Amino acid sequence: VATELDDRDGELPEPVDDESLSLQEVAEQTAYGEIFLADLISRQRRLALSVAAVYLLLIAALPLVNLATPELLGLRLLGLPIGWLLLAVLVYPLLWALGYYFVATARAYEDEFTDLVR
Amino acid sequence: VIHWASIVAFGLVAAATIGVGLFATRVVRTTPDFFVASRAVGPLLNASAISGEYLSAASFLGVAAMVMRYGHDALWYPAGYAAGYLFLLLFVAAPLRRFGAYTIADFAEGRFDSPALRRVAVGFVLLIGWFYMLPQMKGAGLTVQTIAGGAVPYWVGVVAVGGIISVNVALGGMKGVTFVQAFQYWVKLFAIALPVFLVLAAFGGYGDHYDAAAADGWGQPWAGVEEGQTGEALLFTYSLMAATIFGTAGLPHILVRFYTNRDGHAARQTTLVVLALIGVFYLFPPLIGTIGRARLGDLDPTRTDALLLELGGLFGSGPLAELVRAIAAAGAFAAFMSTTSGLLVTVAGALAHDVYGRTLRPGATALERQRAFRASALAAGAVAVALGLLVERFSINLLVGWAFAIAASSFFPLLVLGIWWRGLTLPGALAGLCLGGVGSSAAIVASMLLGLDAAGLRPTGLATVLLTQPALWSIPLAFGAMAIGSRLTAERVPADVRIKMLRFHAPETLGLRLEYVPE
Repeated sequence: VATELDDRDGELPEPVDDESLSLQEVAEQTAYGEIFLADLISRQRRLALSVAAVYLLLIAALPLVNLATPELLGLRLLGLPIGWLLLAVLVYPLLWALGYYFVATARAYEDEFTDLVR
Repeated sequence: VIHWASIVAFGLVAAATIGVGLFATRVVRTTPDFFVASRAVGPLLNASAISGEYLSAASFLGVAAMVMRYGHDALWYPAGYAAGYLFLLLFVAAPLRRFGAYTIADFAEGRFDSPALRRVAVGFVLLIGWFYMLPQMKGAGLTVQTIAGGAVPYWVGVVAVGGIISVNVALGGMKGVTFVQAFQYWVKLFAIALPVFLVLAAFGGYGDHYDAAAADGWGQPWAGVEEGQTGEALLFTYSLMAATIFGTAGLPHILVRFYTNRDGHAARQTTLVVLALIGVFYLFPPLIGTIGRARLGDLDPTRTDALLLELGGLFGSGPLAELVRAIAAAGAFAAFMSTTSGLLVTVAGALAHDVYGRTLRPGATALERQRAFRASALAAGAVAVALGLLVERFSINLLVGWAFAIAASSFFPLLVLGIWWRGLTLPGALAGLCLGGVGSSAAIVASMLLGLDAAGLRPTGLATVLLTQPALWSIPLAFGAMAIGSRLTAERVPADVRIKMLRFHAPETLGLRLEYVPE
């Protein structure tokens, strides 16, 4: 499977770990590997959708809160109105934190999956 | 007044860019090196390169200009540009890398084993790539005009910068560009941060400038929007959000960078570093817009895209003023050079690989394809320059927002459904790609030709809102067409979809080696 890629990269093929599964094995293998993989994919999908939903709900609510109670977002924090502070400053650490949570959790799911299959 | 220090700064950035490109041609020996930088690129270098490639004239010049003009409402642009990387991380980064697809066209063909879908995808790669180059050309023309004190016409910068970049890409290929891109992120961060710190140190803090700027309600959402039009303004805000948030994950010149990651997990780590790097960068444009509003209110409204370049004027006309101008100019050149280089690599790669290597001369040797890449880079650059001459009156940021809308309505749905939904079929994918991509492009071109609102944030009337920023309907249209089309042709779900899913999602810790390889 990997030979064409190696040609493209101009590198020698890496020695294949004897214990590792081949694509063929997993692909032909039965309900067993497949169920685990389907489970992994659905967990990952749920995780990605949840993180996306958290961000979208927060950010989409902002214009509505603005419409409903402009005074609230006009309150000052650190010398700036909260509405400005949220969208011009705080949104960036929030994005990073959500990303960090996702990377750590997705990795944990994958490690669990690997332990199960091995 | 001609700003000589700025011209020298431009010369230095151009010389450094070309120098690294030339150096790279001597290091680059093999064709794979040339195309994919051999994948030996670590997360920090790769993230710097992605950020360097991403932060274009729109982020460097356009956002601050739009904030100065429209206040709070313009903040949606940078927030959306950054959020795009969260969505790229959540849905695309690791699976795309694991699949081993180098370009979106590779992905399209690999997922369905369909050369037809590949050809359609290549069409959209060219469309989005060229569209995205327009605002870069506008930035180049405007910047050269500004540092020459208005002594040269707009076209001089477009032709000069377009020419330099095309030649550089033709010589260096992707590997040279990786280092240039990474270097240019740091140039841009320095060039946007330093003038801001100097202004803050000299004239007072963020809050002071905000208060001076916002005296007339400028800091409020929808400032200046009339009572009855709040609904339209809200709709436009959401449409803009959708375009910027979902567009990043469909940008062809960004996605090719993920192939240079070692594996899927490294792709995620790289994206996380990108979120940090561009998050730090985007703290500055809103602040510059605020400063501009507070202190440079007399700037010609048609030239607000040059705001950052005029910031030096706050320090009078001495050496400090010229230095601040020169630093800003250096950053501006880094901005359109890095983005245009990345776009040109992508467009020229598509022309050389797909149009030449697959359609015109399928038997071409590696050397011939490398020559074709070089010729394509020059030709594609010439097209960008020619089109760039036509867009002087459009706001930089608006043009970039449009490129995002097209990407969000075409490649984003294709990637998300292709990676996460087994049920996607070839007819469904084609239907969604064409309806969303063609629909959004048609709306945008129509609004450009009708001259609806060249600056961009205050369209009035429902039809105008939906034409000027189509993402709100064109993204659901694309997803809907893919879902319905696939359901109707459910018997055409690829037989090997299990293996495709395995390729996308199997962690590399399993030890499987199952990359999709296009040729």
